[in-house]
Amino acid sequence: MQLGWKEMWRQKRKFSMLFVITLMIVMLTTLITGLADGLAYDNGSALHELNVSTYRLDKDSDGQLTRSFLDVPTDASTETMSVRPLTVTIDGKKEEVTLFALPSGSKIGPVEGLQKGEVVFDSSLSENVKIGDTLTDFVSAYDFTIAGEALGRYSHGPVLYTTNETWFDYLRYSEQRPYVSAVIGAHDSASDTLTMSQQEIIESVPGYSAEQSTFTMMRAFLLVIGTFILTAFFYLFTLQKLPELGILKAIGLSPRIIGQALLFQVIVIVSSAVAASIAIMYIADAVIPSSMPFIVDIGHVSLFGSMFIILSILGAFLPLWKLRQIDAIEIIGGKAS
Amino acid sequence: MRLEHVSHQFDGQLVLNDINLHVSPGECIAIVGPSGSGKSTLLYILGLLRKPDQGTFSMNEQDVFDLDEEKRRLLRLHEVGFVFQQAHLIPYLTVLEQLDLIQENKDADAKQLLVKLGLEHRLHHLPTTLSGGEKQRVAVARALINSPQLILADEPTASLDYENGRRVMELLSQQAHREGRSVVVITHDERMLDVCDRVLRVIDGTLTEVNS
Repeated sequence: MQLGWKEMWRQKRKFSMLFVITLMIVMLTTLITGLADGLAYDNGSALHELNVSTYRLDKDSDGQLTRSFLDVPTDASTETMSVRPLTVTIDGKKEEVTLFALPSGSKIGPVEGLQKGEVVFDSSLSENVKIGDTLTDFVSAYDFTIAGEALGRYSHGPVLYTTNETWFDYLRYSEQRPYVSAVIGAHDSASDTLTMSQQEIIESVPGYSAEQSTFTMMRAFLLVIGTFILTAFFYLFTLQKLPELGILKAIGLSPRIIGQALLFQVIVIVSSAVAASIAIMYIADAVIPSSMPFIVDIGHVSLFGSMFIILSILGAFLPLWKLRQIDAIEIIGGKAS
Repeated sequence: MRLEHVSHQFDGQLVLNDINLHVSPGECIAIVGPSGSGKSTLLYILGLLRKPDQGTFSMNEQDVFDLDEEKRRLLRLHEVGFVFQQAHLIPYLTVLEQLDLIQENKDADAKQLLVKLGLEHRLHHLPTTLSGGEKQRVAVARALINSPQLILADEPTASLDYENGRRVMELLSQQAHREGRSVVVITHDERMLDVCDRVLRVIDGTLTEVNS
């Protein structure tokens, strides 16, 4: 390892260049991870924030709460929730929102203490909305009164939280058949319903899976490209050093010492690049405007960082193999006589 | 150190033909001959880098090619010292670190060895700051650091001027005469032969003694 460290220390320019290239590749991967996590959160944060583990939906809903229409349970103790996209007007301007109706007596979401007709809004709805303002459903002309503020986004749009009492009042007012979107916390599934976990519900949000799989593919490609570049660099470095390494082999120095030095360098460079990129992510998180969906999920970033380190170590086996193949005689200066 | 009836072919051509050679401790021999005559092949066999097609090579009465690759590597590290035409020093290690890298017995005094070779002012210098003669002396020090029985030198003066070349040859000869090691030097430079005890000539794969 000392051999590897001395080489890095005394050939700073060469290894700094390699570090910068590695850092840029890792940063690209981690920034995309931050963006993917931000978009994932933006797509389903309202569901993330709900204290619900199991949902029972309409069998034909494809797991989408907005497509699920269940009869209102007759048992009053059964907890339900309803989700519906609405177009509301604020000072004559139309905005797309998603209404989340939750049981008022429970601590599932931020609806405790709300009176009939009152809603809690996500601040991304509009900067001009304040408590006491009225939002009007464009289709039914039902008025919702703003009573509070809480984070919550669904399918990249703001959420209005309200109580089931307001929900049924809204349906009555707009002369619609009463229904609920899901029975929550229920484990006994009827044949005409679909039981889903919170994660499954989030993954069923429109566009969520397509969005995340695109990012996953990008990250996978970046990992592979990064590994190739790093392997190519270390392979070229090894080729440059063949005369000296050939002499050491002829002298009888264990190839393990040379191999350990190379592995040490790969691990140090990639690990430092991963650590630096995580630090840069935190800085980016602080300076990026809040309107841009970006989240530092240290678990996710560490996972991709670890994968990069592991792939780079695997990539280092190519130059290691080259080291083993060195023909000392050829390097010393001749094939036979 | 003894070679007996050693023959070796390369690309279907006989490059060494029934070679017999005995080098005693304390003896320095020079091997000369035209290019392509088989000198280097002979040196690679003595350095345990190439196994001959026929014949035996024994050190301390043991046939070294009966040993497996790892044991031969250890034998090279402990008992054989190499000096090549080019020093091939590790560019990012100082003079002292070049020796530390391969030094098996860490109690041996690498500094003292470098002082003996006139490199006391260069201990912490990188190879890029050394002259050609100094680099070759470091290579000699590297060959000596594990106190080998046998020292092999392949045209060690080829890249040096006469004075530096002469100094390196005298160093090698001293290793035989003062330290009791066996030294085999391949050289084209006839001006350097007088420091050796014997001169052998390789012609068409056969070895003949030139003088004693």
